[in-house]
Amino acid sequence: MKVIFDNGLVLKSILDSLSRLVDEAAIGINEKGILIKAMDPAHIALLTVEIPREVFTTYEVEEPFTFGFNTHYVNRLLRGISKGDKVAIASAEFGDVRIDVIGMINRKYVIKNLEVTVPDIPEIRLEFDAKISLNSEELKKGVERVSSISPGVTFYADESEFKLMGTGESEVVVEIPKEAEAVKLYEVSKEVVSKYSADYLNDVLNMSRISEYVDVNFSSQKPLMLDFEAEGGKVKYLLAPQQ
Amino acid sequence: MLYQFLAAIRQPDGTPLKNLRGEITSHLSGVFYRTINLVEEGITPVFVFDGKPPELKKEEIENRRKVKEEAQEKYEMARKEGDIRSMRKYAQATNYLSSKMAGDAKRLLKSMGIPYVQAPAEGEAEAAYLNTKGYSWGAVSQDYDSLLFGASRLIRNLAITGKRKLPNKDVYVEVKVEEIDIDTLLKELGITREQLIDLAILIGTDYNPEGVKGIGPKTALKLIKKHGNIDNAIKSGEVQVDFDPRPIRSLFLNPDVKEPEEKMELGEINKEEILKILVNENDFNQERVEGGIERLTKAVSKMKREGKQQGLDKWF
Repeated sequence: MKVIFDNGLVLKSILDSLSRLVDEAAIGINEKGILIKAMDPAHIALLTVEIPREVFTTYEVEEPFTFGFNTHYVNRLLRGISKGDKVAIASAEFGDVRIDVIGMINRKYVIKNLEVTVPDIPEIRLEFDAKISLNSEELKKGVERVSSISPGVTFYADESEFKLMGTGESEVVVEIPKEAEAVKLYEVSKEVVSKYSADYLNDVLNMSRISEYVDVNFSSQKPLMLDFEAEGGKVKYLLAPQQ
Repeated sequence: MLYQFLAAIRQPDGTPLKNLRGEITSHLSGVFYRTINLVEEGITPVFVFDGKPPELKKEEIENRRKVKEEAQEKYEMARKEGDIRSMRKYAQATNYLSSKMAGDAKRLLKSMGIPYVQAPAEGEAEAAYLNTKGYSWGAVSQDYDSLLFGASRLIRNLAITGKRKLPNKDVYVEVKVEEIDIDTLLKELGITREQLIDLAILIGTDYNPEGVKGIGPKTALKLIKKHGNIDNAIKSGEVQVDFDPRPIRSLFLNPDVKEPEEKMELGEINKEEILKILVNENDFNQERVEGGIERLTKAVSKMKREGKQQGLDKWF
């Protein structure tokens, strides 16, 4: 098995978010593409990554392969990766896995393929009252502003604007009108308001590095679903609300 | 949990904490101070009180009663001999929770704004039910029965200090909180919950404490995987039992449980009532109790401000 990520930064960003959710994870690699599913131990957030094989320039997979790894360790190995660097993952001798970082200076690692129990996570079927596609960097900045004073970020949307709000020692409101330049799509069927953990949001919003736009889907008192798309791959992040 | 408080919160010679009338107050100390520790860590505990045990538990209850009686006799002997170490050891095995003690604990919890549920029967079963229905994040118990009753997540060794006293020994050991996720456990073992129950019946449960002679966990797993269930294992002749496993299995699969009557969330703190229960009625140090109330008030208001985090499970 050998798979090359032409943009190593995408993999690094995914691993950044993944390592904040779980200590161990598994990448499932089969003839269709790769799949990563991870839910934190508290079952507050679920990260799903799907990258179809067509996205890869090198994709040599004869039979399904599961690469189990410690997320913090592999994240460390990929430290310092920059745009343009490639990352190759390949099966090695004795069931090990070889990781090559290909860039200005090449690095190679051979690591153990851990037996990671992947929990069966059923599909969640949710209808959302608000679907807003906006510039991911703007969302990141907004969440950062609110989380600087509040541990929870309230998402609010009505037919004319989207707001991020927080209350701590003081109050903060970040307003993004429907017509704002950062907004690509705005579909809100009714007024919705729901609160989510600032820590969890900050953990996933580093994905803004690799995805220009993010789809923000939410309903009142229901999970938030953030959809990122990068280089043909899809990253879905589901976050349970706070009361 | 209350039994743990009664066992652990004691003086050096094993005597539990008592008020000036000689009534035991270790459980109240535990409920008050240790609950505050949990709330300060952002946890909303829901206490579940045991109800009437099922008939099938008679044998186990009788065994426990005998052990307590023997421990009481040994404690008296140690006391006569002035053997403080042994006094402590045996005193811890004589724990007895009267209905008045449980009632006082409930009054204290109510005044602290901590939710509790009175189980119709087994507390473990009710805790598992609350977990299955999404009222709680996990069932906290030292007993694995919660998993058999259907809890999706069992938490063992829950203590903020990370230390727990070894039973019958004057030794504290570092303990780590253990989380057992039923789906992961069943996947690892390659069996279903029903099969896990049958496996437990072979090894021994509170309803058949002896289990089946000569069958330990490894053999039990092998037998259940081979035959699918205990009935087939008996039919095959590989397992001989002198009890009927069906009512035991049924107790785990269909336990007597109920919906909670009140909301499972932190309520109002009644400072006067806490002081009345602990200081006026049970001679606790007023200054310490007031300090505890202050800590609890801060922790509760912090939790309410930060909001209650929900899990994704209820949307699956």
